[in-house]
Amino acid sequence: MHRLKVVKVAAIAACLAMVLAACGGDGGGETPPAGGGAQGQGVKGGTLRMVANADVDYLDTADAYSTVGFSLERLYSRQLYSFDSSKTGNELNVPVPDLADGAAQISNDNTTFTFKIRKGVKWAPPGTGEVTAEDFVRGVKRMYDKTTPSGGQSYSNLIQGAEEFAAGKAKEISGLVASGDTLTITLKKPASDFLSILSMPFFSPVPKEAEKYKVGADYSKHVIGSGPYTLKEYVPTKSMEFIRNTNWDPATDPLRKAWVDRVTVREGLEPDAIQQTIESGDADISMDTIPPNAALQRLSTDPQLKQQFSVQTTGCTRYFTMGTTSASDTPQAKISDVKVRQAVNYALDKVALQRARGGPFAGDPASTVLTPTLLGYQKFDLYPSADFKGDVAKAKQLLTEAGYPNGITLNYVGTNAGAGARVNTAAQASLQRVGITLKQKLFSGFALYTDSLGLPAKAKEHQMGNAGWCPDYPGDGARSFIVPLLDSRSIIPAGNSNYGLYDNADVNTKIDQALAEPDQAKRGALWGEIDKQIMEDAPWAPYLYDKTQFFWSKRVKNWIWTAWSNEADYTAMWLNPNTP
Amino acid sequence: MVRYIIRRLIWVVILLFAISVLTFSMFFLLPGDPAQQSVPKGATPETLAQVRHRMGLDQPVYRQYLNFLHGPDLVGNDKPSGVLNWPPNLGYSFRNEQPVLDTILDRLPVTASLAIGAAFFWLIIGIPIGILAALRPRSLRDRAAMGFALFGVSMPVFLLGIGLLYIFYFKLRWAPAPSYVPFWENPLSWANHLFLAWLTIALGTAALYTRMVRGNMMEVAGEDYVRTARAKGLTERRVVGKHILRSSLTPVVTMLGLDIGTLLGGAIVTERVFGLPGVGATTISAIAESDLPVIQGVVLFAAFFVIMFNLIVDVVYAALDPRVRYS
Repeated sequence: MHRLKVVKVAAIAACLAMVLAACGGDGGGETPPAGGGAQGQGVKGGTLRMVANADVDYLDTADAYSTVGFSLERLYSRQLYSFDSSKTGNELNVPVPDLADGAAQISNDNTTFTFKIRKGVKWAPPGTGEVTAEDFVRGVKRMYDKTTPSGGQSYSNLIQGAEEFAAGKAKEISGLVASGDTLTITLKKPASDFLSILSMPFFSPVPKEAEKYKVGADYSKHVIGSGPYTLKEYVPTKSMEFIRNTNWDPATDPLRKAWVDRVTVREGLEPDAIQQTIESGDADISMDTIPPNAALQRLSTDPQLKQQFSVQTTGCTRYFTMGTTSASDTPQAKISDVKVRQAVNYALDKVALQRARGGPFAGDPASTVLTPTLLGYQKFDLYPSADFKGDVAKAKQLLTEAGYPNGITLNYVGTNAGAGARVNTAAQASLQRVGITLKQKLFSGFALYTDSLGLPAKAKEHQMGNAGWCPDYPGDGARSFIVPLLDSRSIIPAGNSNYGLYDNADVNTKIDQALAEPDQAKRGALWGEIDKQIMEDAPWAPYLYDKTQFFWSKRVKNWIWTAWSNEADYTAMWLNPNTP
Repeated sequence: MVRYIIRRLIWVVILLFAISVLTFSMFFLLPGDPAQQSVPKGATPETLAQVRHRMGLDQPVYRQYLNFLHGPDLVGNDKPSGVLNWPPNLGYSFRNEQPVLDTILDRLPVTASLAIGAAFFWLIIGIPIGILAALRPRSLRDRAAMGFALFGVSMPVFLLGIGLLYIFYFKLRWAPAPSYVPFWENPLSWANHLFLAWLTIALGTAALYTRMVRGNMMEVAGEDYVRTARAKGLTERRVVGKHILRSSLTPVVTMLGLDIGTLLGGAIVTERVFGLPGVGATTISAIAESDLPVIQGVVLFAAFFVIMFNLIVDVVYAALDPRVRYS
């Protein structure tokens, strides 16, 4: 998801983070999630008690577009395809049929997908009847609500007739046809990742009973589940409660075990209090925070606590974006010169940047556009340096070749607090070594994007900027990564995500090829090629493959992380003891 | 007195109006665009325009303010918006479209519980310590009292709260997990869950009251009428209790009213530290999400309490001190 909106509220123990990182420890490596076999047999019953710092964006499947939203939706929503959290490795990133009864029938040109809807899947009360093909059509149409438009429109627009429907020129979406228990989806052009796209909760079916609620905040308070749970109550910014869907039949749901009887969420706690509450056993899991930096060393080394602790590579990336066109140039600095951007790549001390973000727990030094959870990711570094600490000599040489033997001053934007502020300082220090000075303009939180990076008209202001991004889905998720960030056809006047205005026609052509390529291996190879080509042009200086830390209470068993939501699968875990 | 009260009530309205204008203006001076923050990535300009219209942000600022006073329903709830309606409609949250007034009233019992309990404790801590200190100036107990006052005034509230939680909940398990239990569900549990939060606010405020009571008493003790009372042979207990203390406590009443009024606007830090879903915690969320209607509503609510309590203490002051008369 874009701009790390989905990244959880992180504890801001700045000083301790740096000390912690300096102390080292082996916490940077990934720890395997708790496995089912090692935890014993599943135990039915109990209440999973979640605590949270902030509220979810939406519970309405049309509009939820966050880690928290996606992870909660696993409880009550199902999709045509979804993920199987019992799988391991790369298999976990391949979607499997959920509400689809068997594999989809896909036309030879990869544009028409036909699904048989699984029988016997019933809506929770007050919903009535079974999930039908028409419910999926309803779900997609709701995404085009005028007052609360869905973030999934960029995906649903792949469907033939969707844009005409959105513009009010058609009453129906011509590419979505429900006939009995069969749903046929026709796309405007081939999309090899369409099954992964359908796994996103945007494409959940919605019962007819939902029509009496407005899309967005209203329906969020009344969502009707097709999954093992349904919403009992949601008081915005305060609490939530999910109870069992009494109509759910486990025989129709191979992907969810749903051991616990109830899930409660209490909001409004600070990260430190959340950590203490979970460690004390008064809560089981955090909905939206990670353990405070000061606690990470202890959690990763204590013999008991480390069994309740996990560090996962999320698939998100941290990078510096750089202007690639003359629109970004100033009389003092021609950032459009590739040698300048390559010099930045060589100059960065990625270990210092890692330390600024929290040390090895926060991530690993990055050198590619694609991240390790994405198909096509290959480990390469076009701008290598010893121990990722930067190659000062090479950077200076490139700057000299670009006409800046005495250095250069770049206009830089970043955030003014927390880890972002520390990254600004670390970036300045490492670039200063080669004579690159950053003239910093800092913003509070999301304003960095709304007031600067996202506005092409301000390209000169953000010759270089600190940004982050997460894919919307793992595996075949390069569409959600490269297309908005580096395809020039995605550039828009406001809310733009191709911050450097990168424009390479050859890359665009290869992107289209990759999106249409039906063979997975060839697709992966294409994305890998695109990655290398982009990095040769250096519109980015990636510096960290993001990691997130998780902690759960002693009684939570079978905690399994999934890249689909960047969270644990709440339907896979059980509680032992299971009271309350 | 009645004329005085009526004049003051008119000032209440004027002040609230001024505060609402100020809050509105400040919101638009701050960076950030709530509409842009609400739309998904890659949203078209048309989508952004639709969302801006729903929020009423496509209108000129003065028109938005007038809508705040009395305006059309923008969220489809079939009720006109505006504080000049009855009951007042403070608008709807940008974030979750909940009526702002409903949200505030839902959170108010938590904040009221916090304020009243904390007030009780800071009075029973601060006043006796202040009295004891005043009775023996520059003695060991006076210095101890001033040390306590210095500590209380210097210690940041959030640090005190986190510290108390860490020691008494996390380490000693003497206190329950941070949360709120409604009074009517279980009064004992309600008090048990709030105790540390009460102490957090009370210790700092008690320090101020200690200094205030001590200072007032020492000043009054030097008055002629106190010397006269002693000269008349009254017992020290009677001199302190009836003559010194009564005069010394009238400023305390003034402060008490203002402090409670301020707290009812939301003890932001304490509510966040202890996970209490009160008005203060709501304010923090609203500011983080640029939720103007909620920010506006909470600010007005808090201002209303402060102003009204200010009026109440002024009236009570006149009743306590015969020298004070309002014409």
